Amino acid sequence: MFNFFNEELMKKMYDEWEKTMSTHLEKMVHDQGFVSEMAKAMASTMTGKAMASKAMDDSFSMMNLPSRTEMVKALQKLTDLEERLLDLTEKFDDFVAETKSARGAMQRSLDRIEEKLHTHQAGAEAPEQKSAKKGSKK
Amino acid sequence: MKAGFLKRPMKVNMNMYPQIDSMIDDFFRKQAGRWADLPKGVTGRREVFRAGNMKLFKFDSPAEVEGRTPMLFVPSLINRWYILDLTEETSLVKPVAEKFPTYMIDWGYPGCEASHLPFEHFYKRALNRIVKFICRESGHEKINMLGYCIGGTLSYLYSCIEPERVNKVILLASPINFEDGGISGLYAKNFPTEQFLESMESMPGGKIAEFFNNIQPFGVIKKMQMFQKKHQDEGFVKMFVAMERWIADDGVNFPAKAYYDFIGDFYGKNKLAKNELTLSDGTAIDAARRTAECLILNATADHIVPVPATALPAADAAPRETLTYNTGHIGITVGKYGAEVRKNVINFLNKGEEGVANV
Repeated sequence: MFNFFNEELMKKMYDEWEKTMSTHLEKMVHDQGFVSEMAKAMASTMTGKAMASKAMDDSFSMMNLPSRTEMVKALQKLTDLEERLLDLTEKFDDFVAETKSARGAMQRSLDRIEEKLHTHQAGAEAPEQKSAKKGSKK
Repeated sequence: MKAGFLKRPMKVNMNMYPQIDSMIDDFFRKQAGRWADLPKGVTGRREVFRAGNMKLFKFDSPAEVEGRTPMLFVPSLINRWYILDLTEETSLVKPVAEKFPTYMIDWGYPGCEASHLPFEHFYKRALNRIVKFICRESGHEKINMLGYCIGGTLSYLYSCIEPERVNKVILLASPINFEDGGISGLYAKNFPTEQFLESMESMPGGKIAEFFNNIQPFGVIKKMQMFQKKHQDEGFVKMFVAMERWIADDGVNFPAKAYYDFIGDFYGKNKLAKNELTLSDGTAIDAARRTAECLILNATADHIVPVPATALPAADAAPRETLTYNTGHIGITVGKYGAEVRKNVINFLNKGEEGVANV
């Protein structure tokens, strides 16, 4: 008698079924018609969701209660504030860094000027000392 | 009798649900064995910066790498960052952190509070903030960047906007030219963007994961069959558990306005490849301004970002190198070609860097 529950046969049958289904489904999910129909269904669901949310918001507002949309807006405002604060902190950090480097550059040029002055002063003092020495010898 | 049975109201003990949850959790933990508590990201790190949902990690590196050009990893917006640091064997972060000061962005789990943030927020404001922080901290004027998937798109855009801040950019399976976006492009071009923006606060992470499952029918079954075949191989089980845990960590929502911009401007109008993208202040994002040398890493079996989608815009004249692997979108990071990818990434970063040996 033919054994219908032969493990090998069942396995083969499953493999064949999987292969056929896989090819078929693969073709389906890549099909432009299927995708555009799915998009239409999604669009209608989303429109429905938007309408339901609006109705819910309206009923909350009639009861003088804050709606989800209002709470989300408040959260978004907080995010914006946080972003602004971060931008300002960043600008401040940039300013500090720029000031530091400007101060460093200023200090360096001041040092150079001071050094030049010293050399100049030393140069001016040297002939005076020479002439003073000559005078004392005489 | 039968009708009476059907009419009888069904009694559901609501207190049972947490018990069922813990039973399922316990079952999976037992199946995962000793890999159940694998850390999310294996390389040592510390948080160095935080702004809103986003965090910046700095990985542990030897002291001698501190003077080298810093490296920033920019992960995708739709999943978690630790795919790039999944296990010791597959981590892309670990070998890079051994040679360069390395940072990683964690985009976090954006909720409704971030739903109004445009896509520009991520590639301009957030990236600029992070790059400036890294430059200030490291004392460098330029950094290197590696972007994975959408993270690559963000890195590429940043290198167009701030060319003087980017030294090198690596695009790992990143979509740039959306003309031939494969199956993702087909769905994106048909996506009802207007209705979406009107009704949703974000594209739920679970829905994105569902989409990736659906475009590969029988993918999950095939995965389970493979597990059944190889479940006695310790290495395979470790990798399987780590991957599945990462996939299941899909609470990463895509903020609605950013998703709307991404689908509309990038997939829909292909503005990046056409060099038509502008910032909110009207400044044009010009690929011709880009100077950073670019390494494009793509995969032939990538059904999410096919090879043609990784091509740079025609206006881009910066030097580039392309390496193609015979693997998939995830396989390029954790698959058998992972070692080759890691080697090529490091060798690319080494070019022009003093005192760093190739691998």
